[in-house]
Amino acid sequence: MRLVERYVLSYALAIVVSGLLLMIIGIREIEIYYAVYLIEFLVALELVASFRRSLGRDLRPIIIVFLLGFAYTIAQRILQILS
Amino acid sequence: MLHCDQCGKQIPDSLIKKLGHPESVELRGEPHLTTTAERVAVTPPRRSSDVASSSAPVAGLGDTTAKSQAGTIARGQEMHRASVDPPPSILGGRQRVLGVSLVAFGVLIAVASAVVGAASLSGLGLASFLIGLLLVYLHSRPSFGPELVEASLLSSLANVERILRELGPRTKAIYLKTIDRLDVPMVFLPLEDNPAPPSGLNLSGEDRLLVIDSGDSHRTGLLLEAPGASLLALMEKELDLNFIDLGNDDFLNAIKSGMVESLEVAADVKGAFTQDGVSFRIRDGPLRNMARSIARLAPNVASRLGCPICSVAICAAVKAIKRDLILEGATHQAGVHSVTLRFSGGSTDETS
Repeated sequence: MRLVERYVLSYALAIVVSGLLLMIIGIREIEIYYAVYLIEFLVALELVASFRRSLGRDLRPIIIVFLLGFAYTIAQRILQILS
Repeated sequence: MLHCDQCGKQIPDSLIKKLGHPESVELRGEPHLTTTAERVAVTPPRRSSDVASSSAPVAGLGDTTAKSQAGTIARGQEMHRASVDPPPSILGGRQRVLGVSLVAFGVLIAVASAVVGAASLSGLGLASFLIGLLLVYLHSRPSFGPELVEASLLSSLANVERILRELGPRTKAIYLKTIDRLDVPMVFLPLEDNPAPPSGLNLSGEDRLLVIDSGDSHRTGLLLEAPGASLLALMEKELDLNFIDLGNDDFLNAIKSGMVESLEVAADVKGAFTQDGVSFRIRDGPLRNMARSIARLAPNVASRLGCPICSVAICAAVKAIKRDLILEGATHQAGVHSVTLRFSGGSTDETS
């Protein structure tokens, strides 16, 4: 199996398992799911990118999109607290 | 006795004999080599459509005429077509469909969880959405199959094969050590019998295909960029390291990581230091058909210089060990490359 395929499969497995675990323990906030998925994405990418630097560069747009989404959830939570 | 009109050095008679007639030797420092007209004019130039339908026989080891190598390759590829397997891929061409489906499924789950009021389900919807997004994005990047790599490489190697056949060097190739981090690994193929080469050839200043040194027959031969030099550069870029910085203990692991994980040109690489050199055993990966084609269509390149897959391991070894290495043998059998290298400066006979 190719490196990219292993990366996608392991990431998919990780977020499905962690999503189910969070569901089982009764987490209802989507921000927590998002934060956990983002952390798993970055950890998996770092593990793979040690073998292939170009993959890290190629996935940079995805990282930016993920971080923008994370910034949005943080901003929303701050506004919620302030209001 | 002829002299080089650029550097004024004397050209050995044996070299002139190998090249054919004295009139055929052009030594103006140009990056090309001419040979006798009668050798070149065996077959008239053909169009690519003719080449594609050519039924030229597959060239053998002893074939010294300038046959159309392109025809040989076309024939070889035709023979191979039936046995070419697609690369093992779980994603394949359906990756985009799968990605879009997962994105749609994730959105549906998120909407459904909002409607029903099951907030925890939206987490799984988000997971599905993210995996789908990743699949769609990765699919949008261009990727090329091993067949394309093989097709783009064989013509160049066929040209090198023709040079080796025309000049017919009987000596073993010497991979020259690199001094600077940015040096391109070069391989020197002596044209003279070379029973005891010096421990260091010191050809770093040379920028010619044909190196002639009348004062030192050891320094007369072909100076080529190693077939695996570009692959090594890519491997170093992907691993973010330079083999010149690695010690003898580290570089074997780095070669394995680079060839198996980064470049994915091999399924497994085993390297070992022997008493007077290094040996590699490389198991073919997705490029096994290419390696087979090179071994059959460019046997001199494969055995004397090493195919690009063998050569990348040799170049890495030369860079890490920082010594000239003599390629004792490179074979490709049953999907396994076996490479034996010896440190230069030994007493073993260099002629094959």
